[in-house]
Amino acid sequence: MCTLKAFQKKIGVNWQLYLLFLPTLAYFLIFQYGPLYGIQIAFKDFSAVRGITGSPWIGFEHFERFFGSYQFWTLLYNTIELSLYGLLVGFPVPIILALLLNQLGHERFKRFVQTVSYAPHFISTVVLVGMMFVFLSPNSGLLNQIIVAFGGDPVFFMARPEWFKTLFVFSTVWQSAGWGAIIYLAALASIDPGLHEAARIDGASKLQRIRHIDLPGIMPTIIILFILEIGKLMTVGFEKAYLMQNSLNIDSSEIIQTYVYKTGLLGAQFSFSTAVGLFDAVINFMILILFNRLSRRISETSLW
Amino acid sequence: MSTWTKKAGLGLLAAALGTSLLAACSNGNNETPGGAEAEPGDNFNATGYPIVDEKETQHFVISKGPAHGDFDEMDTVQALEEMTNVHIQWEAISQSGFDEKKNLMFASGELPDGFFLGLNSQDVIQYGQQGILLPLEDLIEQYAPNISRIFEDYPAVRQAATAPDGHIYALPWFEGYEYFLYRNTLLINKTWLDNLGLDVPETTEEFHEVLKAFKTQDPNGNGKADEMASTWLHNEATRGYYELFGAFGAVDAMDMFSIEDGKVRFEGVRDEYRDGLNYLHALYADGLIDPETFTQNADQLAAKTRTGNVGVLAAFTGIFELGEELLSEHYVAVPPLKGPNGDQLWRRQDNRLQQNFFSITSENPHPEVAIRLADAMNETDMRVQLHRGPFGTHLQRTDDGLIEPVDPPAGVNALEFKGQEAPLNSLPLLYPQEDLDLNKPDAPQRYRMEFYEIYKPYIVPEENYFPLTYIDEEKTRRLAILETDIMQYIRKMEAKWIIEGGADAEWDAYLKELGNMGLEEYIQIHQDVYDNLMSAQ
Amino acid sequence: MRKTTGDKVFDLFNIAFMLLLLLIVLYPLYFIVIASFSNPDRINAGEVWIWVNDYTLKGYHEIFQHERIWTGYRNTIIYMVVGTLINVVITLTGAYPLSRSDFYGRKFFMLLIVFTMFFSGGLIPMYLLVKNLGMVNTIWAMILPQAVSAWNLIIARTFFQNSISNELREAAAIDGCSNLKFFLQIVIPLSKAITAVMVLFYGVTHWNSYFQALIYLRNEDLYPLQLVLRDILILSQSMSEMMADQDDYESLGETIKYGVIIMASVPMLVLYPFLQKYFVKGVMIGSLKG
Repeated sequence: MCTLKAFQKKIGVNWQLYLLFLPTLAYFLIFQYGPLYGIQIAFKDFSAVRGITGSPWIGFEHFERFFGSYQFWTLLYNTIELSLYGLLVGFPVPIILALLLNQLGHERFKRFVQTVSYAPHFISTVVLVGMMFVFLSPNSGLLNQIIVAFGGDPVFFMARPEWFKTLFVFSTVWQSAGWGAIIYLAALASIDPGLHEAARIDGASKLQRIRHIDLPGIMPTIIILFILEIGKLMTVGFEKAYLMQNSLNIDSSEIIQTYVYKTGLLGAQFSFSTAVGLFDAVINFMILILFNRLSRRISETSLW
Repeated sequence: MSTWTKKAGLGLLAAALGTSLLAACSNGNNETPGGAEAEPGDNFNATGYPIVDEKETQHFVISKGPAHGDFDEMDTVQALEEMTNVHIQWEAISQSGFDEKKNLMFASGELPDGFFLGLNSQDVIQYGQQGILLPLEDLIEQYAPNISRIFEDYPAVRQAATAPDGHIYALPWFEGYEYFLYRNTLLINKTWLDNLGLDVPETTEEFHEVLKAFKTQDPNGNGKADEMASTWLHNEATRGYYELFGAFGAVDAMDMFSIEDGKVRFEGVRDEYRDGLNYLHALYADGLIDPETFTQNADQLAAKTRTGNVGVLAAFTGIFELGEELLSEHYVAVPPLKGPNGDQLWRRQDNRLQQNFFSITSENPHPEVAIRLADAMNETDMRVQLHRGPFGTHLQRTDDGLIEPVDPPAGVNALEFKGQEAPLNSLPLLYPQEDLDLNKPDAPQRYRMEFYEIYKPYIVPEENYFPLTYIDEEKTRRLAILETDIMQYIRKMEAKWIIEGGADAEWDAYLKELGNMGLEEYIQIHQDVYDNLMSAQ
Repeated sequence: MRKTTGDKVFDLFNIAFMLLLLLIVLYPLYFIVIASFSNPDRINAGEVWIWVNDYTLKGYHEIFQHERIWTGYRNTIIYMVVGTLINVVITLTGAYPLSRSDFYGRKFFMLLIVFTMFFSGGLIPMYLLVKNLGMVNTIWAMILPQAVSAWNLIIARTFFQNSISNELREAAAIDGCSNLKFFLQIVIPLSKAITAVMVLFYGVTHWNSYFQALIYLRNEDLYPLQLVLRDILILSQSMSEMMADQDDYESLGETIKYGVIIMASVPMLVLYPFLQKYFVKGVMIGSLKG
């Protein structure tokens, strides 16, 4: 009784806050947790006539089929490689960009570069992939014309499995590095200018100041973003991978997300694709927990 | 902190479970599929028109192509409604994204009264056997004289429309022009040949030489080596390079199945197929195949071919790829090439009949109205108008009683012109021969008929062709699984070998890999399907 | 103070790097612009790189006549405006309580929210839900299933934590100001920056999204611009496969590709400068963990 009262009191004082929070809570319960019950079709033989609850249970059959399928290891490998590659290249670039931009003395030039650098962020994926085909075309693409001009043989970038991941990662960098840098620039702006002043008087070079003042100053931001990025590790980029995919680069472009889309939505194997999606989500979540823990141990920064 | 996390985690789980229970409760009301209504009402007329005395609405889903206008506003559709008194509530779903939406409709039980063009064979069998799509054969017999007559006169049509369980779950499209027996015409730039003093190639070797000459001897005479020897599509029947395999004895390098003495044969593992790959690689290595063949789509291909700066291409007629002017003035058809062993085959692709143009769902309260509607579409004059546009603006009768198309206004695409007023190839239209004979061929048809004569003697005979048929649900499911892996692998290796070569060296590994993927079973299922079909005949 | 040689070299390198960056980012965009005024044949022949080749307005002419593009444009704007409005309101009202240390249960709620960043029920259950709510084929399917993004909620929460001091709230409380009043009259006016951030984040998402539409919308009149764009740019040929007889449909793709790209991208590029002033500040406070 006592605890219940205490509980009521805690809420009662701030009941208006709960009122404010209500729409958010309702959204998450309805649209995020509501559909969660459907995960059960991963363990069922879903058929349209019987519906989700009426379909018969079949246990782990779909998972077994996936793990035993010819494509399983390729898919897993591709998904992980693509994500890690993307993370290793894509994550540091905005940081470096922000650090360098921050060092530009000329305020207007700096603003100009910054404004230009975020522009690609507003371009949709559909458009981005279309542009890649244009620029990388073996017949008429600019890059290949340059290669040929220097006496090389044209490379058919969009069709080579060994190029797929690089193209994927670097086009993402092109599109989002400037945008990503905004957050770090903001964090950099909040660093006490006095620190830089003092360091300069002590004769520290720009590089030294970047290393010893700027970088530590934005480290908490970096870590938080890193963990969130890790959490999204295996889910990003479905759309782009799908659009860039063709039967030549399929060896390296087929990832779990494209596979789920193709088998589930296009192939109508709903149960199977849900199982594959679930597998993906579980892996993601495990990675997140792992890194969050790691980060808490090393830097005492964590997501929760 | 961490204990709190754990507690919250438990709470979260509880919350999730709670919602799942709630949701589960609210979702238990799936309806069992209701069959056809017992007796048609008074409103319905079993014969004659209108079909119903008081206006009735039927809700149909149809796949909307880019050339289609608004279905409600089509003259021909309005004429149909006038005749039948049935109003079609069109749910026209754009073709891109159609499959996703159609699958979701079935998964969520959100069904219309029926479907026109849009379902695939897997849907038709699966949902037919689950009772979501109604069997049509009794309805046809009872209420659809036009369709019945076609089925009687053309048993093959009936057979191709019949599922393995003996039911008909979908009506097909049938337009029996013989020129639909093959897919691609191989077109070559005759002007270039003439400029270089070359003849139309007859063998694969000559073909290779000609392409080489196109590439290196400046046939367009502008002093630059800017000519493209050939451009194609990969993994597409239309505009693909798959017909070329015939010169090496491969019967069908596209669909990969053929019949030899009643046995199903898989072309993708035959040496003949490999020889074809090696040949294409030789062309590719000499720069005679556009590398973008492997990624481009039809529009991108057409953007190249329409410049007239391409030596060789494959096309249905070439009108889309070249335009009539280029086609008539500069390009001619190359007869099937003779291969090193004297093989001279042209891939058969029989498109006279296409499945799945009309189905009725279990939600339909009046299936008899729907089937009569489909039958009304097959009245002689109605059919041709629904297909090609209304009389007056789109069609006219010649003095000898034939029907000929009216040219579209200048600058208007012919298909779009028709698509504004007619549903085109999206309804269950079945032409008997005598009605086809009424049509005076238009320009594309004339080209096609002419080309057909060239290829006719070499087209793979019917007994070697894996026929169009439905496959039962269990087999379909199994095939879907096998096919994804197998065909994806085959296409990948095909592209790789054409570009890089190495088919001979890697062939054994390739066969082994296919074996691991279950090729044996894949073939066996097709054999069973074929055997069942033969014994049914 | 004199610069050291090292710093000079650094600056030089830095400026060179930035110039290179400008080139890499701007050139492709520049190319799209000149390509939109050039004859597509010349582009395909690889003859358009520095300047417009064979100037033509045909592409734009076609675009202006292409009804679907304008319908798509209109729809996208509606979805963006209504959607962003709802997004921002719910995000701010939801984030504020989460920023309060005396909001009992906030850690639980946070976990509840973070969890959804990883697990979802998948497409079919989601679709069934949307269908049961009667939202398929309506504007709401484009808006409500994405009413709040967990990620933005976290940013907004952090912003409130850092910018609304406890002292301020306590002072207000002594004056008899309720939570609701405090939020509406004091917090909101102090939150221009985070509002700008949210408007931009959500706005861009709405502008570029097409997957929702692909799944939930069947009526072409409701299609947003990106879906129309996808049809035009990427999928235009399966028709010809089906159309066994005669003439294929020539899609507009090649002619209007570049013009459409510009039309689809410009509004967002124009929107940003207006919000930029607040934006940087908002991101700054929102991204620092408090």
